[in-house]
Amino acid sequence: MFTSTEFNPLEKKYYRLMLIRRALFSLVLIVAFCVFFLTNRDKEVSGVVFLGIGLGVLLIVIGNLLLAKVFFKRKMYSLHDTNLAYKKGWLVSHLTVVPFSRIQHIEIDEGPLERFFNLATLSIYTAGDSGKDLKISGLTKEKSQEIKELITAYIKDE
Amino acid sequence: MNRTDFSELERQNPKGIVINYSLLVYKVLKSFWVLIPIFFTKSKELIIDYVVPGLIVLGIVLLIISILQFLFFKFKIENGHFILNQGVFFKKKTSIPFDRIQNVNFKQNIIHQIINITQVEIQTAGAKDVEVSIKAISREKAEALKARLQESDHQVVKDENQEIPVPKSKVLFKLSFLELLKVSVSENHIKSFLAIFAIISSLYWQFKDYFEGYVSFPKLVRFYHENEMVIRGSIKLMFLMSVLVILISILISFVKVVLKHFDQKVSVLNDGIQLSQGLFTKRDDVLKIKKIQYIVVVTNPLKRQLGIQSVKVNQAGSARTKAKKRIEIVGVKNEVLKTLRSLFFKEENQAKSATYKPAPYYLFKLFLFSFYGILIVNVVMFFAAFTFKFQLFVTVGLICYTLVINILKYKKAYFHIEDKRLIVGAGGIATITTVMEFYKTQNIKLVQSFIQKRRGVASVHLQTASGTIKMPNLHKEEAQELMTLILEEACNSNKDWI
Repeated sequence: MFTSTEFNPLEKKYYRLMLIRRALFSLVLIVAFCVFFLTNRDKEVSGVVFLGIGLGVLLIVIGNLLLAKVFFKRKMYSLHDTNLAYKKGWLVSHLTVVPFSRIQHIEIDEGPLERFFNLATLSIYTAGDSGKDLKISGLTKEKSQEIKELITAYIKDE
Repeated sequence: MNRTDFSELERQNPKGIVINYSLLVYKVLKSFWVLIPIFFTKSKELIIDYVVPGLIVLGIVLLIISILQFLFFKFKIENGHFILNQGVFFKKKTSIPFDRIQNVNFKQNIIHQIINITQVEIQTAGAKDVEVSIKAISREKAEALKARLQESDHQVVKDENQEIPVPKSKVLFKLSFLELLKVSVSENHIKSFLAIFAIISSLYWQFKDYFEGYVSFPKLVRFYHENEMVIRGSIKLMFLMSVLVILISILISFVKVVLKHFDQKVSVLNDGIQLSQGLFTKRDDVLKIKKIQYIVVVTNPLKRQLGIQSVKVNQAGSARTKAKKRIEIVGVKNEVLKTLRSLFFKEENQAKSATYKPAPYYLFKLFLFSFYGILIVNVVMFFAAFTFKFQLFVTVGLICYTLVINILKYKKAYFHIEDKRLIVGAGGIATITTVMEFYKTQNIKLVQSFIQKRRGVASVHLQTASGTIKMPNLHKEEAQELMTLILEEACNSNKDWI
């Protein structure tokens, strides 16, 4: 049980979405750095400080974009008869398993970017501590709808 | 009018105005107490001319508000729903279906006790969590309301329990004052000590400006250096000081325990237990067995000598009121604990039973963390310019302490399964035992950091409707085995977790 062979990867499109999100974040970071540089240029701040911060920003931007692939590859889900499992994480890996019988409600969200790629985020809530439940991004809208219907049918059958 | 019908919208007991008023005054005092010293620095005329009339006006305004609050607070019961209307300017209507009601508890603070009324708290669970309290009604009415609100529930329970009739409300045990004393003496005084420390330091930060120039940390250090011989010479003084601190800690523990657990009484009901306790604020809580998610038994060497332990019962509840759902019973004797456990967890055939231990990596990790801690303390002491001898003394002390505590922690950590029940052991000086049934699991997590992966260990986190139970650093295969076992039961059990 829970060996990686039974797990399904997320949609390939989702990797592109992750890259776009991370690129947007990088853009914000770079703009912030530029503003910081332009407003403080006249003051007596040594060039070494700017160089240091600039290098830091560059490192974060590159690392962020490179790590997208790793994070994407680590995200996997697996639908069983009575439960849903989800794997994620690079340095610290998490495997979460939610029994269908404990699910309180299910939500499907689509952000503007997700809608462009025809992707959706499936959120599953149990009575456990909020925020520690399951959230799977990068499913097609149809797939997430399918999972939702499957689980709802299971709960109704009980 | 039928007094126990609740079919018509009705107000609270008029005494509720007193409660509303005292709550308002308390709120105002709480937010403006910082300003109080200012009044004393001003001249007498100013106080008589402005402050006193101001306070009188404020008092009258608060009185009017509390009367309005009382007038606009109405409740009733209508086809299976508890309905509450409140709010003077912002109207708020709350409607709670009976089957959403988790518990109906009574609470009496000192004012309630003086004017002889009761506060009723209605706890609910569901997607949209609401918590409702009726601040002031008479005890008889409170009982009647409780009976009405739990009507449907009781019927169900009666059907289930027809074969095993249990006498209604039997007192299981009562805590005498002497036993209360035992409980407080055997408490963990380090906590009380830290509480004293926290209070003193928070006071220090609040009045920092006043102290500035009188006492400061560098000055204390300098004072210590200048008078080191004198201070070290007065061992007698040190001894007296430590005795004093211990006495104060015991006293604080005592006050805390007495305030919370005075006159603690546990009675057995049809479908749960009833717990009443408290000195100034009396609480009456009902713990329904099916709503209990897990229990935690805490004891320490001293308590074990006295043959007592405390039991924390974790109930399912809404996220916002989690703290209240953890109810503590203190001074529980061994035989009472046995009764409680057999009440909470129906005995089944203990066919399958196995015990797991955390991997030795856990001990290694504990020592690693202690090492970092001691390192940080040393760096801080180095920069705070303590004498070398003092630093050495503290470091050796810390090493001895962590050595003992870590080995104890490792020894006391175990995960035992007994049929379909999980028992998790933990604790350093104290011994903490958590008992939970598999089917109360909401979701399971297997967490593994890259270091843990290299060592072939993983941690399992069990989410319940009342918090997380963590099992750190199991061998990977054992962790998976445990996970599969618990999951199987959580997925397939037809027992309702709530």
